[in-house]
Amino acid sequence: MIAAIHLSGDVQVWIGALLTLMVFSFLWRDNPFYKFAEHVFVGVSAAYWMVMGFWTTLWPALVLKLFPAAGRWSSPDAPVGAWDPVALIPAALGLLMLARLWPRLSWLGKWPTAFALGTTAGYSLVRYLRSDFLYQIEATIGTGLAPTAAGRWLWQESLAQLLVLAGTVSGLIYFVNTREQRGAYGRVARWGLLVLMITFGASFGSAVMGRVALLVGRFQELLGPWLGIL
Amino acid sequence: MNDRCARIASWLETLDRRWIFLVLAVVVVAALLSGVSTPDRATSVVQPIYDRIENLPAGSPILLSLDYSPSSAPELEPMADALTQHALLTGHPICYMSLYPTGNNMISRVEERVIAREFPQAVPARDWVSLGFQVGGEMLINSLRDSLTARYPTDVTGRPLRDVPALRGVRGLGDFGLIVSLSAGQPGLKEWILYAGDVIDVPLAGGCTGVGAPQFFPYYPLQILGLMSALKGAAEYEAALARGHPEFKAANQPATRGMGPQSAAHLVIVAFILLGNAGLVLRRLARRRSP
Repeated sequence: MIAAIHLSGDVQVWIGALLTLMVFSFLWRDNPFYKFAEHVFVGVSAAYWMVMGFWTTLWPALVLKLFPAAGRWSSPDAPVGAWDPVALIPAALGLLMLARLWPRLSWLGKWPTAFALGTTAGYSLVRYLRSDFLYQIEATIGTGLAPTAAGRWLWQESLAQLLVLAGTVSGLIYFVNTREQRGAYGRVARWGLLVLMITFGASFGSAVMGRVALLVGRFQELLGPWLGIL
Repeated sequence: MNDRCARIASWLETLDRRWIFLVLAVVVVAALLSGVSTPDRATSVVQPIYDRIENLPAGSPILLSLDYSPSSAPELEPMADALTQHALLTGHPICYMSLYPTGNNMISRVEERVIAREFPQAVPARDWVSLGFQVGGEMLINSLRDSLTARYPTDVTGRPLRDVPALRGVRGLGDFGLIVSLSAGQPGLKEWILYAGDVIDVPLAGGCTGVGAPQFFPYYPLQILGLMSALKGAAEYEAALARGHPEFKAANQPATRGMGPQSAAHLVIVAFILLGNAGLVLRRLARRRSP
């Protein structure tokens, strides 16, 4: 039985509910209410990121290290740290990045970009090679095609393992373009294509499931905290 | 017959998509108001997370990284709620942190909604602690592996970590009984796998959005202990919790409540897909029979 409507008196709940309805209004067609909500969202997000970026990155990692006494401005009781000249290096790299704003000096911006790209790529290479390549090979064939437990053959796991292996190999074969996909080889490649299609279908279904969950979440907010009928 | 097929086919082909939105909205609202829910049980991908917490030695701390923002909260917050409830029911201190700038607010919401309401006897710093957000993503995880205090000298309230009983005996990430990342994207579960789970010997589990799920399933079971996928994964965890701890049945179970409307919406989508395909078949029939 549906309880009587009991509208919320909380301003935050009202703002959330009205913005939700404004965004939903786009389903009817583009309109000023949707545009308003869209602009508010973009503006608030940008401002939030800028403020968070300043207080969580620039302030502790740069300002407080170069000017430790500045910590007193934000929290008077906090202990003053030591001056850290190492912070001058990221500060210089950051300033070089800004040089891209001036066409004549823009080449200077390549140095910090190269530093960031090089260190990140070098550092991540090993991690990705291990986690996404070696361990994934182990996950595909590591347990063998006839896993057992307590001397008993686990036929379901075995079948699943076989399917994963066949799917992986045929999927890889589909992408081998140096050989014409005809005959038995072509049939394996077509099986690989089928596996890929099933995978894309599952991904799309999973994405739809996620979006519906968000829709349910919005309606829960509208019917619960705002209208008070849930 | 031919005309009728063609008429139905053209009606289906020109059906305004707004009718679909309307039907979907009406069905979701009706399902929410009727309180319909679908019975669920934990699958073999979710159950290991529950079992791990259940079998942890008493007092083992759990690290819960809320790596999401409000846009993914409907899918991931129920997981955070259920994990918090489970940890507090079984007496394991929880340590919250986040790789997302909005993480502090997400942690506060769990504290208000679950800890304050359902566990008023829980003591801050003893039963749970919030480290909050720190910038850095994978590099943050990297530095936390050896020492939590390297990047978190204090918790969000300013209390030094050495004075936090919940983290007694915890030096780095490897000292946690379990690490769970509830992940909406990057940085998130992937970074936890690459920079923590695959590097040190620590049990790692995750929760993810429906969109991200296909990316993470290949990591189970070799690289992650278990995976909760979207609202369904959260509902499965709630089902395991309700079965193992009957007192939880009376608690708020947002994922289980959300699964009824979600299932109803899925049925509507399936029905429309079938209808669309029926239109295609009718159009072909009409073409084939036309002189």
